[in-house]
This record gives sequence, structure tokens and C-alpha cells, in this order.
Amino acid sequence: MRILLEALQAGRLFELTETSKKGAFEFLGRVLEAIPEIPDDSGVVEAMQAREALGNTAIADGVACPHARVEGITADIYCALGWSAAGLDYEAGDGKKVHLVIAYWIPDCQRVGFLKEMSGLAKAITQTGGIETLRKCETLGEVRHGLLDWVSLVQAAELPDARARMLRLTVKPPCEPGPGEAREGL
Amino acid sequence: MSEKKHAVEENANTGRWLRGTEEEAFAGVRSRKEGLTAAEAAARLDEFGPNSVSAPRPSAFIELLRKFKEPLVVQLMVICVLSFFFEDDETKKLLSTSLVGGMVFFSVFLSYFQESRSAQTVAKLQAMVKSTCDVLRDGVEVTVPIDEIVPGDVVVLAAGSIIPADCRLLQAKDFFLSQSALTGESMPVERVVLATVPGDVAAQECPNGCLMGANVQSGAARALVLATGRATQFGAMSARLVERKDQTAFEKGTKGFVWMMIRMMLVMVSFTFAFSAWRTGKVQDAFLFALTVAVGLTPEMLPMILAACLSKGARSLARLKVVMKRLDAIQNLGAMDIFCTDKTGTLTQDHIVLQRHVDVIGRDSEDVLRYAWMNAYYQTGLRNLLDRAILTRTDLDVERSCRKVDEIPFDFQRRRMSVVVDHEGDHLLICKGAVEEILAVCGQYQIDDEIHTMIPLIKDEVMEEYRALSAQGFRVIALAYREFDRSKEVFGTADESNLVLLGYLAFFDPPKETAATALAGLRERGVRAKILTGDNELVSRKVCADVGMPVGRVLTGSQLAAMDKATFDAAVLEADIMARLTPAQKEQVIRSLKAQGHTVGFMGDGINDVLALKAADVGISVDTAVDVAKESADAVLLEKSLLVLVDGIDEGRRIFCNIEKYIRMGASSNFGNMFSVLGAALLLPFQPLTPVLILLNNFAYDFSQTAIPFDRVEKDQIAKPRQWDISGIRGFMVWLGPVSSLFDYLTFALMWFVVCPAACHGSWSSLDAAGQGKFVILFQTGWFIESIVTQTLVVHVIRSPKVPFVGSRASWQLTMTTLAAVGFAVWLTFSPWVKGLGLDGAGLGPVYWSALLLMTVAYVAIAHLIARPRLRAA
Repeated sequence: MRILLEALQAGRLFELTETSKKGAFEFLGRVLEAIPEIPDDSGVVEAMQAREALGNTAIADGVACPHARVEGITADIYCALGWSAAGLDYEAGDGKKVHLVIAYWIPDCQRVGFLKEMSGLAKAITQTGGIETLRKCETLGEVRHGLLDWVSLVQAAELPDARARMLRLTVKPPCEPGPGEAREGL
Repeated sequence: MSEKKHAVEENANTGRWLRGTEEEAFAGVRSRKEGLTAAEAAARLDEFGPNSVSAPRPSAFIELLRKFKEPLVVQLMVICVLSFFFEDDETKKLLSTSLVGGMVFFSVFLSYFQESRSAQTVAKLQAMVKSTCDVLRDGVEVTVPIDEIVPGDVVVLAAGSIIPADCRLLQAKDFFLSQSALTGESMPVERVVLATVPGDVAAQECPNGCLMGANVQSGAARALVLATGRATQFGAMSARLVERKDQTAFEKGTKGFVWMMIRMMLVMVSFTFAFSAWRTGKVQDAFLFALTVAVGLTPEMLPMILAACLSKGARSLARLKVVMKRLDAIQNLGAMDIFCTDKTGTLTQDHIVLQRHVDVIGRDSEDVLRYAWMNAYYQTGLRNLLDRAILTRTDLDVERSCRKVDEIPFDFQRRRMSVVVDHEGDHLLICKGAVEEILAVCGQYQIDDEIHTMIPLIKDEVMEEYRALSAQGFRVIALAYREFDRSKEVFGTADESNLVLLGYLAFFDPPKETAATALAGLRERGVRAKILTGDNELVSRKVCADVGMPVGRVLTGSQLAAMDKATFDAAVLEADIMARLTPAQKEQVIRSLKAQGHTVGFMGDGINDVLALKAADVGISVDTAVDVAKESADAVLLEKSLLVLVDGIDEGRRIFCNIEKYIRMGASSNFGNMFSVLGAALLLPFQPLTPVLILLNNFAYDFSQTAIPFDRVEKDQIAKPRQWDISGIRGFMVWLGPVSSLFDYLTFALMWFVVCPAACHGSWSSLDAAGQGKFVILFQTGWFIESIVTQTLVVHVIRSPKVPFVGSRASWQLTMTTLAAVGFAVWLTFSPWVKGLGLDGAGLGPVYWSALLLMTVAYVAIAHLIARPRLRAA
């Protein structure tokens, strides 16, 4: 949830006046493009729309994470948040309106970070009662506080869900290993 | 329950050993869990004979007698007997009876000779494609030909295996059989290990039995062989039931032609008899004349020509490394206009290499390789090329730290398989399979050493890696795992849930260098290639692009499943690639294309191809295919190359082209003769040929055609698919027949008005009885020669659209036989037999011979002009 936290700290949470998905993409895309570390004319909106064509990015319970992946750039991930009290018709799988749109700009080298951020976000939604607590907020400031609570909750919780064990297996030695030949460890 | 099922007779021993205890079964077949020794097996092979159900071939005499049942032969024999009883003249009786008898002999013996040669060819070719089975001998798993399996053997079975004999299961895991050959039921049935079975259960119903004729759909097993060969249930059934199979398009076409000729002959004979009796007033003579005309119209050489052509074709194809398991499939090979294939091994080298093992975001991962290796190492089912590629990539020392606990075998519904291994205090289920199917059962994913919850958005993200690898031409499978407590020992498909997605394995099967040439060859020959694959559309598209195959529409199995019938039919016809197909969908596609009037070939080598192989007009497999695929195929390629197939298609077309020559000749000359004889019977006060001369004419004509199977075929005649075209044959009849008749009438006029009056010094009506006798002999001699010359030489016209003798020449064999027939006819008219036969070649005079030459040239020219457009259109 580090990326979300940074965006909140940098003041990249906005009230969405747009009621359409396309409008939300264009607005948040422009916000991302305004970040100095993101190159000009990087086609954030087009990249987000292309990704959306592959599959809906609503992750559940009124939250969507459209994202633009870029290749060949070494940089950090950035995101911008849009809040719509009325909700957007996002064509989400669960049929619910989307109130919180978190648009990400992801250099290819940061895919691990993005996947972890998504898993954290999914956990936050599950553990905090989801968007319903945010919908009660009357101002954008209250929404920001609510989101900071999400971040705190996830940071306090144990992540990842579990740690994998490495398989401790060795490669068989050649048929007749010579003296002093070491086994290749895996 | 199907009728076949009722027909299976209980084999007392098999039933008893299936129902009793395992110990009783071992004692019954004098065996043990480790199976037989090689020496014991050899001794039992002597004792019980080879494991084959095919009935011993009937003796040559019986086979020869069967030939006399052919409708064309029966017809000739009836005519022979009738002419014997109705002919008064002893010399003519002897001559005509011997000639018809000779024709019967000629037809029966030549076709018997050719067919037994064909049978030997097929048997030899089939011996080249042997099915094998894994069996324990001396306690070690070895592969032996199925016909060497003996009672007491312990066989090792996996998905794709044929059940080689009647067996009792000793070990089985998720073992499903298809018993359609035995019971006619297509749904797989599960077979399990049971201590005993109640006494009233039939052998075929015993849940612990697997009987010869079935094949393994999924799972793995070891089984004790109880009975082999004709002692099996299947053997008993095969011995009693006459094997009936659907008629092929070729058989239907041939039968249709024969009956068309017989019907035509019956009409013709009735009219000839009526007209001749009315015109000459001699009922008995008219009857004999009509009978001999019937002989003339009978295509008695057809069985021989067919057998010779197909047998020659099978031998030529064998030289091209194409083994024809059914001779009549040769024609279908030539007629094929849509060729469907899985891409593996046909477009690609079938040399699969594990190129990459990556985590969920595409980073190289040794963990993925280790898990994959353990899965491939411990699985006992059908070990495919992907498993082999994984196993050759590394070799882990698992003996000390791992123990196999269980296995959930692959099947085509789940499209994944798992092994469960005891490793460091846990039971580790490792599952690999089609990416969509693995993702569907994953609740988490692993990245580095962290395990996170999987949500739909992340599924989409990790699918992107799969799409990227596929688009690069890799065949991608996914790998996932789950840890269970050690107390759980038995696993099933329900345990393949909430798995941790670990990563992907990317395999590469490079395109064949020859594939592009072969596909271009198929296109040039009017054969459209379609890819029917279980793999994904991205890989298929990439492979097709690599081999220069134009790709228009691409469809997936799920898209096809959502279509109604009309949309489905149109879509499968249009699509070039149909990906992610289930075995049943492959079959459905083939059947749809067939129903739309196409002759469809399908090439496949896996158990998932069997349904499609059976449904296709020509099922083609390869020598390295799973046994059940080879058994289901009509043709087996000894080289897994499309180039071989292209050669096979050419040969199939060549063979059919030669068969067509005989059929066109027979149809057109017989139709022409019908007009000529009818006209002659109506116009002339005598018969235009004596019965003996008609028979001689027919004999010479038949002889001239025996070389048709050896004739050359023009390249442009095999440029496109050749299918049975009855309307085309009718076209030849309707156009060439009357032209042949026209020249017969010209000959009648020449003889009636010019040659005979000149030689007899007067017209018919002005001559006395002796003069009229000479008139008749000259008339008959003239038509006899003209008839043979035009009938036999016409083969040079209808064999190619090019100018006969100049643009295209027949093979030397065909040229020799036609010239010999003409020479024989001319010689006969001058020979010492002349008096007995009523021929007088010397009396014809130069006017006749000049006119004959002119008429022959004119006939050949006109026939060529008429035949050329039809041959080009054919």
C-alpha cells in the first residue's frame, strides 16, 4: 500500500466530476501525466484503455484499478485517485457502481510491486468492510482519512498471506563423478 | 444396452477369474504380480498362439468361389448357360460358350489374382505399423508388440493405450475406458480394483475387468492378462459377427455405376430382342443375339481394374512411406479438398524443448523447473512430449527426500494433472496443465517466496505473461501447487482447488523447414488446410505465420460452442485456425465439413484425435502416434511430414484418374453401342454381328483395357481434388456415345451402299440367297473391325484433354494392349478361322480400308473435341 500512501501524501486524490468511465480515465490520466517523473506524451490514457479492453479492472466492491503499463522505463510506480460519491457505471463484474478509481502508471520493471499493491488493496477492502465505510464520508478529506485507515490496517496486518518454502533438492551427480567434483545445488 | 453388448458371449474362464479373488486369477493363468519371465512368455506364445482376433484367411479355393457371386459374373454365367441350350449350330455353340466361359475365367481369375495381391499388400503394409504394449517381463517393464501378449502377462496401461487382451485390474488410478468398439456406447466407464465381484455379473460388466477392444481414456493401471486372441470376448464376438462398416463414397460410387450399367443393359436387351425378332422373324436367334449384346454391355472387367489400380496405388504409396490400411481410402486421399491437422508434428518439428520456466511475471524461476520436474517424474499416465522435455532439462535427486503419495491423472475435461509427493513433512500436490484450467483452481499466487491472494484483476495480469509467451510461439502450460497435511493419503480432483500459482513453462516446437513447401503444395492442389488444435490461438497463429500459411478467421472452442448449427457450419468452413478444441469439437468440425459436401482428411497422433480420425473421410496418423490413433486411421505416414502427404494425394488422384478412364470408356462406348445395335436391329434385315463376333469383340476390348492401371496421368489432371462425379460420367455417355454411334451408322451406310454391293455385284434386294449370305458376312466383318478399332482407340482420347498421341501419350503397356486388340481383330478376319466365324477381311477391298482409316481419324478428332472440355472440367 506504499504507492497509495504516497499518492495520498502527494495530494493526488480528486473528486470526480466525470460520470463516465472514459471521462474518469481521461481525468486521472492527465493527473498522472502531470507528475514530473512520468515522461510527457507517454499515452497513459490510451494505455489504460488498451488494458481495459483485455479485462475489466474493477477489483470488487466499488473499487477499480485501471492501469497503464510502460516498457523500457526505469522508474517508480505512481497512482492517482478519483472519488465519485454518485458512482461510475464501470461495467464491473459484480454489477456495482464504482466509487473509487485508483489509476496506476507502472513501468514494466515494477510489476511485482503492482501485484503486491493489488493484493494489499484486496486485503484492505476485505478487512475494512470495503467501500461502504467510505460512502458515508461527506467530504473528500474524510475519504482521504478513510483511505489512510485502509493503509494503516494493511500495514499492521501480516503480508504476505504466507511464505513459500523452497524445495531443497539437488541435481543428481553425473554417473561417475570424479573425486572432488562438487554437486550443483539448487 | 446396445445389441453388440448382448452379442458378447460369456467366456467361462475370464468371467470366473474376474469374479473370484486375485489369487485365484493368478493361479488360473499361472502367473504372479511381477508377471512372466521372457522364457515363460515365449513358451506361452507357442501354446496359445499370437494375440490376434483376425479369422484365418479362407482357402484360395473358397475365395475364388466367392468371386462367382459377383453380379457381373452371375450375369455372364447365365448367358453362357442360355447360349449353350439355345444355340443350334454346334460349332457356334462351342465357340460362344467357350468365349463367354473365357470371359468369366478372365474376369474371375484376374480379379481374384489382383485382390489377393492387394490383400497381401495391405497385410504387409499393416505389419509395418505395429501396435505395442508395455508389459512386465522378468520383473522389468518392456515394450512388446500387442500380438506377443500372452495369458499371465502383467500389462502396464496409461491414457492412449489399447487394452491388448482380456485383463483383470491389479492396480488402477482414475482409470476410465472407452468401450465403444465392444458395446457401442461412447461414454467412458470407470474401472477399479475389486477383491471379488458378485457371481451374477457378466464378464463385460465386471468393474475390475478391462476387455480387449477398449482403450484407455484417462488414468493409469496394471492388469493381469486372462485371455488373448480369439479366446477373448472381443475375439468371440468378431468370429460370429460379420463386420459391417459404412460404405465409403468410393464404394457407393462404384456400386452406383455398376447398377446404372446393369439397368441400361436390361432395357437395351429387351428392345434389341423385340426389334430383332420382329425384323428377322427368328425368335431364338433374336434371343441369342440379345443375350450376347448383354455380354457386350457388361463392364465385367471393373472389379479387376479396381483391384489392380488400388493395389498398385497402395504399393506406390508404400514406397512414398504412406501405409494404406484400407485400400479404398486411396481414392478419398485423392478426393480430399479440406485437410485438417493438429499443428504439432505436421507444421512443427515435434521436437519440443523446454525453453523457459518463469514465475507469474515472467522472470526465470528455478522453483518452477523443480516443481515441474517432480510432476513429470512421478506421473505414470501418458507421458507426453512436454513431460519428456521437462525431464531432459534437469535430473533431481528425489530418492532420499521424496515419496510419491498419489496421482490425479490427466483428462481432457480438466486439461490438467497432479501428483502428490511427500516432501519434508507435507504432502505436496503439484498440478500442471492448460493455463486457463490451472488459473481457474488457483486462489493464491507466489511471487519470490511470498504467497498472496489471487483476485480477478491479478489473474488478468498474470494471464498477460501467458499471452506474451504464446504470441512468441511458445506452447505454455501453468504450474501450481498446494500443501496438505501428511495425514491425507488419498487425493481426487476436488483437491485441485485453492492452489498457489507458481508460474509457467514455455515450450518451443520449431516450425518444420518443409512445412511451408508442403502447405504451398497443398494449396496448389486445391486442398485447403485448417488447423484443429487443443492449443491456444496465439501459438497457432504464430506457427502459421512462420510457415507462410495465410490465416483469415481464427475461432476458439468456446466461440464454436456458443454457435447455432447454421452459424457453426459457416464458421468452420471459413476459419483457418480452430484453437482450444476438445476432442469432441474436433469431430464435430469434421462432420460439419463433410455434411457440407467436402471430402475431409484429418491428421492426428494423439488420443484426443481419435474421434476426428474416425469421423474423417481419410484419417491419417503417423507411426509414432499412440496406438489407438494408429488403429483408427485409414492411412499411416511412416514419416511425420506433410511432404509425404502431398505425394500421397498425387498418387491417390493418379489412381482414381485411371479408374475413371475405364468407367468413362465403358459408359460412353456402351451407350453408343446401344444406339447402334438398336438401330441395326430396326433397320437391317439381318443381325449386324453374330453373337460369336460380339463376344470376340468384347473379349478384345476387355483385353485392351487390362493395362489401364499402368497408364500415365497428366500433371494437370491431378492438380485438383478428384471426386466421384456421376453427372460427369453421364455427360461422357450422352455426348460421346452418340458420336460413336454416328460412326457406326456411317459404317453401316458404307457397307450397305458401297462395299457390300460392290463386292457382291448388286444391292441386297437384287441378290439371291448365296449372294445375300456373302453380303451379310462382308457387312459383319466391316462393322466388327470398325467397332473394335473405335472402341479400343477411344481410350487414347478420353485419357487426357491433350491431343491424343501428340500432346499426350499413353504408357507403353496401354499402347501395346490397344494395338494388340486392333491387330487381333484385323488378323482374325484374314485368319484360317474366317470360315468358322463368318468373317472375310480379304473381301472388303481398298475402299473399305481407306474409309476405315478416314473414319478412325475423324472419330478420334471429333471425340477429342467433345471430350476435351469435359476432361478439363473434371
